[in-house]
Amino acid sequence: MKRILAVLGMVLFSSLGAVAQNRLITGIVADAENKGIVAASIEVQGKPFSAITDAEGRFKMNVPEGKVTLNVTSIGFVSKSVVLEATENRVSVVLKENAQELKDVVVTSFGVKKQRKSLGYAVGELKGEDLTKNKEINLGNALQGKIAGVNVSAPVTGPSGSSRVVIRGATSASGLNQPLYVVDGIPIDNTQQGNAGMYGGADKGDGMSSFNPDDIASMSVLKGSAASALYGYRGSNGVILITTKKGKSGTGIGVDFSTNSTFNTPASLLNWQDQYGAGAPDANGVPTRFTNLQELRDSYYFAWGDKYDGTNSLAIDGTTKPYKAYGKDNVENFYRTGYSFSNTLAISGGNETTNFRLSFGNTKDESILPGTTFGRNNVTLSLNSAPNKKISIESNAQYISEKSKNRPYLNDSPRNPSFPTTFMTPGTDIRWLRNPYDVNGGEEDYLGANVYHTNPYFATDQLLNSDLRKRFIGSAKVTYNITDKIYAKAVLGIDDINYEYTEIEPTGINYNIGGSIEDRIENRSEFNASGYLGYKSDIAKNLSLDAFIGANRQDNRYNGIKMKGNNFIVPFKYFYGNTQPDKTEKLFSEREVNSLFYSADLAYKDFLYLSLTGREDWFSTLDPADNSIFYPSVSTSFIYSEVIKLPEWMSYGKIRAGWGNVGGGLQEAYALMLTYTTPDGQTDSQGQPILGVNGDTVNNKNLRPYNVSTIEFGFENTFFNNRLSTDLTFYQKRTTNDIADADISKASGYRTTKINVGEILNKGVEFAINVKAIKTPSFSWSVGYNFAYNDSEVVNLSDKIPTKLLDDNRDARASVVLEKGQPFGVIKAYDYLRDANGNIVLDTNGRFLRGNLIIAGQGVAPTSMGLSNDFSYKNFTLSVFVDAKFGGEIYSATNQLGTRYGLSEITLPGREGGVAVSGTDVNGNPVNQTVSAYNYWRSYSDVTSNFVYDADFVKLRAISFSYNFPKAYIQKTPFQAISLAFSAHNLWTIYDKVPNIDPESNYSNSNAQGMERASMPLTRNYRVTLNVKF
Amino acid sequence: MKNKYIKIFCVAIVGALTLASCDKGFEELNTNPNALTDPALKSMFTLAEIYVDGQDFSNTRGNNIYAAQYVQHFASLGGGSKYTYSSEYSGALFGETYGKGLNQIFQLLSVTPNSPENSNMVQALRIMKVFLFQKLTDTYGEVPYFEAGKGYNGNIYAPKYDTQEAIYNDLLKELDEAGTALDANKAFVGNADLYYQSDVTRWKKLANSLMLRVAMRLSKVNPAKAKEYVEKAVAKGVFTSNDDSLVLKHDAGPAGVKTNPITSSWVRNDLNGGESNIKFSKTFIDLLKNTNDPRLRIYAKLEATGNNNPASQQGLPNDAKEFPGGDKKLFSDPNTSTVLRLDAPTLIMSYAEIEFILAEAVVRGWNVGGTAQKHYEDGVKAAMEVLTIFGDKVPAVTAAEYNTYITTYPFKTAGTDAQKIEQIITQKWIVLLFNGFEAFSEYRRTGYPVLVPVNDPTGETKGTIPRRLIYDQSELITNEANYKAAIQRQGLDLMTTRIWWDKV
Repeated sequence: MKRILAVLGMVLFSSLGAVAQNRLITGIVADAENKGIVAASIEVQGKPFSAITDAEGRFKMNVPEGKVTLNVTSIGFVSKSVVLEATENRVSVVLKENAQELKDVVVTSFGVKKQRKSLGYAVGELKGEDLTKNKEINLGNALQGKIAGVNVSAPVTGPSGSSRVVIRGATSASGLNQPLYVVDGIPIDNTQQGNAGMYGGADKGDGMSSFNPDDIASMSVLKGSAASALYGYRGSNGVILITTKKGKSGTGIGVDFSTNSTFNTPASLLNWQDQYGAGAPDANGVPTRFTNLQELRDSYYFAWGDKYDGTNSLAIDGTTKPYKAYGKDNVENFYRTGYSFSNTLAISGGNETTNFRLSFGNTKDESILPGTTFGRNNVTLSLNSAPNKKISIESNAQYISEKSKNRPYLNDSPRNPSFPTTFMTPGTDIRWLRNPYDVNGGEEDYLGANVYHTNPYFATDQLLNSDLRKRFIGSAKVTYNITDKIYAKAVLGIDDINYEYTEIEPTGINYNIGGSIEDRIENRSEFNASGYLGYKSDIAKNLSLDAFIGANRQDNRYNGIKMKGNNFIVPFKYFYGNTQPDKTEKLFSEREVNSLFYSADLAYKDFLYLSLTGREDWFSTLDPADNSIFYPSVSTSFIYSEVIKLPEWMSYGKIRAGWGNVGGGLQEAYALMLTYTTPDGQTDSQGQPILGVNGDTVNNKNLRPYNVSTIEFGFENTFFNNRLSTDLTFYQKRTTNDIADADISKASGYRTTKINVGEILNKGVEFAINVKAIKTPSFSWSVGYNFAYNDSEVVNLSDKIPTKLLDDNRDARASVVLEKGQPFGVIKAYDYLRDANGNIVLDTNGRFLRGNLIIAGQGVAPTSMGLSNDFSYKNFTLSVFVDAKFGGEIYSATNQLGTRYGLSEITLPGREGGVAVSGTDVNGNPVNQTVSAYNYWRSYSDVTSNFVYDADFVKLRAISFSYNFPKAYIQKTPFQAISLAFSAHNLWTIYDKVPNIDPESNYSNSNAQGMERASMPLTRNYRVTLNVKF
Repeated sequence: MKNKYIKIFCVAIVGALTLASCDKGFEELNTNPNALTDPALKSMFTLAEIYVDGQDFSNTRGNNIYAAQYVQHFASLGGGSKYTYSSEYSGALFGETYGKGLNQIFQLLSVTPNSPENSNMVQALRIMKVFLFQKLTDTYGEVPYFEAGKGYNGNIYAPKYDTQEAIYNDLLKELDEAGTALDANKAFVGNADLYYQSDVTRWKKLANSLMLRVAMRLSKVNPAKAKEYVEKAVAKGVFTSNDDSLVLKHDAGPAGVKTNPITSSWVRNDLNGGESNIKFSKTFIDLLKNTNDPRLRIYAKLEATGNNNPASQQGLPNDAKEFPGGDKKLFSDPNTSTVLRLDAPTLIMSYAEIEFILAEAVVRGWNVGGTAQKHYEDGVKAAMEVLTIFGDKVPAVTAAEYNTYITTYPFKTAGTDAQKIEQIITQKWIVLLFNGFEAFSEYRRTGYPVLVPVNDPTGETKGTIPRRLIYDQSELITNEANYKAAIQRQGLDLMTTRIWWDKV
């Protein structure tokens, strides 16, 4: 109430300013398209008379008698002075757009556009053309290397998979640490549908794969807490604001058509030895090839036989073939060239009051993995109208359908086609397994006794999973200007997702002959309604206020059903009704968050800005006794170049500072108390009802969202007439009361609990520099470089638990953990067994022994950077983008198993004559002997820290070349513009140190970063794009 | 027009503000409509009884793949028969027992009001707890006991490991107290008791019979204490017929808690699966075949042909790396008409086992009454007769068949004590089929039956039969200090490390 009184006071005060003048003039300020400019300022030069234009660009003011000069200014336009003769009382001023300044208007929280110079915090921006230049099917991946402090890593899954975007380091031990995505002001769902963990699994994509990059006008990244504070409990991981393309008023109807085709080629980095074949040491330790088919198949990966000599030998398909290496190109031979094709047709236009854009997008992708496909259709409509100066309406609607078939299984061997493909001995050509069926139509037993190794041709030929997601995202925003200075706004938004998922273990798959099916049908929706009351005006001389108060109600609902059936009654017919039903599960949760918030931006002249925000959130999922939290922020910006006289070569200087407090990790619904449920969905046994403890988590009634506060300082400068600009940021982000989603001893009766004790600290620096190196009418060259370093530390996990396991490698011989005092997500692996002096201890047979688990690296690279070079010559443009990460490590189970299996080239030394070792045994006795290569390298492979590699890389990520057809050429055609572009992605790894795999081969999109195992090969992409405008 | 717009906006804003300004309805919204917040005690008790038998997870991994192959009931081409190590298989019993059975029991005890009408249920739960803890400690050695199961009630997230001696002392005390406190005049749970339908007298016998099993395990490490409690149990009254045997019935489906936990995965996946299926061990088949044991037709069958003719049965050697002759169909599976049904009952503790313990006690000179021969013969007879629980698809063992068997292979009354114990334990080994954990414990305690260990390069024991399973490796991370303290006392976390009662 106080605030409203204050606002009313201000309104009164400012209207008093306009008394006692003597000559009334009227006028209009318009842009080049003759559209009125709102809030332009008109001042009489040298006299204290001023006015501001209304929504249609009109103004009325008193001026002194006689000839006067009016100075007209408006944000985004070049200022202009107009001379008004003594007799003139009407004036019409046309202002030219100032491209430089317009570009410097950025989208901030709740979609509010602000001048970049007024911001007290860092905001990263990406324009639509940056997204379409190297189009990614998943929008999240388009951010890779583009914005300092935004770290993107995508699991190697092909295009339909998810992306992992982490801004300024992970904030929470238990959260996903991914930003909130907001599209046209509406928070949208980015649930990770599935993830490959210790036992494998498929990456089932995320919410960001829904969007068509051609529909995106810009993305704005709110990195720190000061920037995201208005999002309260959702702001902890930063916010990415996405603005979709709109129609333009007064342009008539235009049609844009864009089409592109991409070829994706598998590029295997495996370089296994090709000298020794499938086999093992015989009883006397002599390397001997397998001569028994069962043995050969059971150990299809075991390359400890004798040297290839070309003599006739048994092959895995049961035939006899010369004993030599056939399988050098197994990976390339198994994978195919993938292909994707996408089109967008957009119709847009508008008249003076209304504009629209309607687009249809279509994407089809055939993965490099045979049988894996992804398709997406987007229909997007944007309709905006401002029928009069009081009211404006914006509405956006998107309907998306996404269909995916056979998302690849990763990591562990069942159904992962990359596993046998990777580990096949060189003596086998993978194509010999090409007919994967036995006489019954089940899986032929090429891979021996271990049924959990699936023939890759079987895995890709069978329908293993499919999903369909239908999604509607809609928003409506109505703004009503109650007076020139006071406005009211209402916003409604919905993201409604219907998801169907089917996972099949087909009839005859060796580890589950009867087969099984799981059907899941889910609906996930989020509804937001908010209202704002705003005030925007000068409140005193040189001091302006832009403020609002508002409220939001957020409802989330999740409802679904999961059905499982086993043993297909009629084999090979894959539907639920054809099974012995196993388990049906109801999936349901509902929660609500209500919020009140305010924002106030004060500007003094054009050089000092102060912004204050606050938000109170009430949560349905917290203990009713204490269920609300307040999130404030304050930030300031000072343009010192406006005040201090700077040297000629320095054009602009700004310092900024911001602090904010946000939250994350909202308690799940129903997690306040222990509940009881029927076990496995079964209600009775022997006619007696049964009931058990629900879940294996110890519920904590006092759990609260964790808290993240960031303080940041920034320096923005431009030099040499804006030819060179720099932006430097220092930040410190501290997470307190982190929710330790702690694994607890199973002997407690439970597996996990949640406690608010964790503390995580991220400190970092971000730097960006942009240079317009050459700018002539026909040739230009600009360079952009960004650099980010983030130093993370797990300050505390819990008072009881010093270590938290994020994920184990499948063999449980390496893991990613959080450990007190260490960076976020360290890789732990086994060291050699060592004596008290640190010397390596051997066993009595001269083999290495597994010692302690040690910290062998960190899974997330602290340093990342991107370098872009853009050249244009007449109608040609060339863009070259290089990105790099440094300081991270990766545990490669491919290399570990490759060594254990004798596939790796490092296992060649000692094959003839053994390896001489010397040292001491456990009891300190000397050991001096020659160990066979088999014993040496296998024991070496037990020491898993040997396979934690430095994952630094520098990659030529993308290069694109485009040509705009000159107007003269197309004058006589119906086209207004045509451009053709060629681009290539992942063309060249300029620098890396990991043998056999790509350093970015991580299989998980969870916090457990830094583990690899039998990954899909790297793909190189080649694309041609045609854009046409009618 | 103008007024109308203003009105719409005022309504929208005021609406949003009022909605947000409070938290009305939050408590109701946050009550799970698909779960219960108050337990039904009897229904929880029934599930606890089911959990005492272990679930599919631990039985497939810990029992079928490991323990039952160590003692050569069964065999397969890899895994357990060769003593290889898998952290998941090895740790399965640990996580499951604490998380399912013990947690159910501890939670039920914590919500059960302390009143006379609940007393019998509480005593029954104490007895069931002993079943689970003994299996755990016998399998791993030291385990968390006194601080275990207090994650929710007490917030102990890293419970201390207790010495096996301390655990055994408490197990005996619990059985003694619970057996005494059971009172036929007090209420029980009616038919919610799947074991004995609330027959308190048989529950008392169960407490004492279990005390017999627990006590006898100490014969090697502390014969005096073993003797004391064996005699005490007998004095209090143990099983006297197959009516007393603890049998848990199962349903054929759907998969989950209702089906037989030993056979669930076996029938669904392994029986028809690839090349990895578990077969009867040659050791087991040969012993029964060579003695014309009438039980063989009930136990074994060649699944592919349906042939359960004892003469056709063939066991897989535990050291086999491939199927001899290349055809897995030639090797015997457990009989799918009897023991390997999804709804086959499980024999948690049999009267036969009790008679064998008594026979051994007599041989050891302890005061339990009767002669070793009589106990032995009663045991063998009961072990044959109890197979009727597996249905009538295969003809039951007749009295004549028993007589022929016992006259052909009589109790070695003239033999040495060692020979007698070998004979007794070998019979017990047969009746413990499908209870590999118990057979594995008894093998370690007595060394019987005499088994030829497999020496395979993939094994972790250098050609000796394991002496325990390796702990759940998550303990290294979640309970490091206590785990390390236990290793310090007990010896390295290896399969070859002997536990307290298994000292040489």
